[in-house]
Amino acid sequence: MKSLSIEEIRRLLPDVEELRPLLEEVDAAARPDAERRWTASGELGTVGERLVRPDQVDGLIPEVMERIRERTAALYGTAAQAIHALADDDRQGALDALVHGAEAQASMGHPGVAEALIAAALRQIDAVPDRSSALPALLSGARLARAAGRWQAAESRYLKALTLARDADDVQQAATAAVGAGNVAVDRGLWALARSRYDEAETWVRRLGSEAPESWHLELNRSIVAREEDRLLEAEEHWKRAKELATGLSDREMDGPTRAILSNARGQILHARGLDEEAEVAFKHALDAARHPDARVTIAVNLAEVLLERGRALEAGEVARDAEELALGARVTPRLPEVYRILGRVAAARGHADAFVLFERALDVIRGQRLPDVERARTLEAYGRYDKDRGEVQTGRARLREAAQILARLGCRGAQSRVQALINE
Amino acid sequence: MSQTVIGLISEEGEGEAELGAREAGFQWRPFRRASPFLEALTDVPDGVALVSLEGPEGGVPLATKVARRPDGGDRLLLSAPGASLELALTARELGAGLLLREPLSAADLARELRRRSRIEVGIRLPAPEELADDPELVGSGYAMAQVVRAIAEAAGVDSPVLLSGESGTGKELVARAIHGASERQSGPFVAINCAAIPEHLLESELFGHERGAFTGAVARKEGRFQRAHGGTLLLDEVGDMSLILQAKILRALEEGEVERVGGSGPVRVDARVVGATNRKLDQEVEEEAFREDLFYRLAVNRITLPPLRERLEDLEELVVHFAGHFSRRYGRPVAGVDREVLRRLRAHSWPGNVRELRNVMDRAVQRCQGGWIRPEDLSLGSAAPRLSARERAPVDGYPPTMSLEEVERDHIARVLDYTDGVMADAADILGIHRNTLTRKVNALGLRSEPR
Repeated sequence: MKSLSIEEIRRLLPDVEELRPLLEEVDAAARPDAERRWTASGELGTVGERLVRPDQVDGLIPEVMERIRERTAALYGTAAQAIHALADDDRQGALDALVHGAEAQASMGHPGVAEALIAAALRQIDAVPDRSSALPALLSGARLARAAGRWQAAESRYLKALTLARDADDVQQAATAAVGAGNVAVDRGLWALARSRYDEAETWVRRLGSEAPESWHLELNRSIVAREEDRLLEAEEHWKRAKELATGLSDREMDGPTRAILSNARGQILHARGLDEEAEVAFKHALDAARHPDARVTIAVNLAEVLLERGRALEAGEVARDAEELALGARVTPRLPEVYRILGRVAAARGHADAFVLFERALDVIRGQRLPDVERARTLEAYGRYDKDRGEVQTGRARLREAAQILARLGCRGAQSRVQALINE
Repeated sequence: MSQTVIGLISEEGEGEAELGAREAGFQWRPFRRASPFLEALTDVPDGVALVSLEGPEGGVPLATKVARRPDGGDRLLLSAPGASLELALTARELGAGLLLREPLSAADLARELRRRSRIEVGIRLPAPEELADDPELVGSGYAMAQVVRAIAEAAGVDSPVLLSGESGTGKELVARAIHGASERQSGPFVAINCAAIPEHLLESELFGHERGAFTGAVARKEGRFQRAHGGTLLLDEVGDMSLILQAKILRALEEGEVERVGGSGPVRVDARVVGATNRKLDQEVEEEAFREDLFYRLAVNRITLPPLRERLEDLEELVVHFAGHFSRRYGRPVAGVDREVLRRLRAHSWPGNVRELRNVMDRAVQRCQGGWIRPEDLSLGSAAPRLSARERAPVDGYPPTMSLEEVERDHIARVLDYTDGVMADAADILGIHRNTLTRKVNALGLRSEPR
């Protein structure tokens, strides 16, 4: 019985929702083709070329079915709870059930179902006498929309939540909503707007007290905005303040995830300042401290970026391959496009004439997993740059134009003007 | 005082052996019988033992006796008529590494003796200005000389070439060398890797496409055949192409025409095609996985590249080349390569051939502190593209009664044992930073002697 590549399996099977959980497990179980390890194409390999044995697929089915059963049971449980609440004329109970259900579905990796539940919850808001009780639904919905790259929806939900929280003088929820709205502005590259949102957030966060985690989160976010606006000393100051606040949270040493977030942010500032050696150390510390696979992938990609810029393409490729392994093994496959983008750049730097396959694979993953449009825009930007660098100017410009159109539609003016400048180059 | 070569070989080979030894600055002491030969080896502890595997007094048993002495493998130099795999394996098992061909050539022996002298002290790198920028092919040993001769022959004609050899042996470099020495040298050299590109994209990459021919065809694009017009097209990993595309390649070769995807007519192309593969294409033809007609079209000229383990005589040259190359690239001065490094490199099996050696030297130069590349700078295990943690997991597993800390301690100890205590290699395998490993080693009370 021979092993099959992921690509062969994907070509064989229809693209139906019901098969997706199994195929995700198959991706995670597949291994690199040992025979290709040292071939010229080995460095260009992606999830598509990984191999899986048919008997492995058999072994995965019970586990996948159990996960589907759990998820469906949770969904049906949510439905039953909401129905009971409605039958008891408890609109608030129905709303709460839908919101909790949405969060449960999101944590189980089903953002589409989670979003549908949030939409249903939000339809209940008008029927609930206490308007502020809609806050959890709005904040939850905003977080989901942000994660899916639907920033206009995210912003609108955060702002509605902020208004409600302000009216109710709910300091905690107002701080969360204001910081969230600022974060969406950062996602969209609207730095001035982000600053003004964070200014408003500051008044609420102060009222929470410096020991609230929101206080160091806010300083760190301000540091990101200052870095993006090239005010690097200011970014450094905000970062130091964030670290002081985070350290003050506990008498003990900072926990791993906090250290990871701070070291990663430090690495990005140092990288922006051109202090790549120090940035490399910071990213390595961050990687040591990070626990969540999602965070580890992000940090690994940042580290690979610095290594690549330092001319250490071999090492950059190895770090990015580790990130790919992690993303597949921990089933955080939405991170694969960013991994393949950096691998594409590494392959180009190592002189592979066919480095474009990695950008193509990133686009495949985005299509196959229905990832947010912003991922497509980011990939087209990297692909367009690559095409221009290898002399395919016309093709490169066409890709960049499509990226600019997507970014314009999403309202990401910062990124849009960056891409526009590339088109005009 | 000069070193001595203590030889027990056939009488006919003695003249060349003496010349070769002298040329390398060694004394020559020939013997006819095993016992005085072995006594002489005891008397001259740094002497090199030259034994013919098919010589008088039974070559293999005698060589085995030498190899069993302390440092015996390092002192042993073997010769044999021809170079069968069996003899090469025997030489490797005895720790002798290279097998000299008989009839002995003074030049071969001198080169090997000089190389061994270098291993005794390590290699000092030439000054940067003395290093060639980036020579296309490195290696002056017998096997590479054969390849260079074949390149010259292939460059003199304009027919297709089929390059075969294991992964990482330098097939693209050879294709470039053929192009550079051919009448097409002023034309373009274009390469495409047929295994790297998904099948649905490969056709358009090879033959080009019209705008809008398929989703993603954002602009009209010339294929690699067209881009190689007037020059050479390397079809790397050609054996991985589907039969449908093989038919289209055959047509391009036979008729000198290609058709763009979504195009309305053929386009004339004049490109010399070089195919490269790490597969046994003749076998694939028998199994009907590769078209016979395309195989014979490509295989007009055939060049087989030797794996690195069969051209270890070139290893030092390659090491010097890559050390110099990466020293310049990273701006890190490298004065030389420690002798223990050379020993380890020679003992490695090189499944990834020169590509693997290149990666090993890339990392070694980056890690090198103080100018000399030392054993702790080598990462022979992790130079390979990384495998998943699952693939690295021990097959026997751990008993379910062990605590996480016990598993961690045990596993780290195993990995350190595997890397001979080299912390950097162990950290690579464990996927953690070296400082983290040091902390863990201290915290878990593991003794290690970081090198």
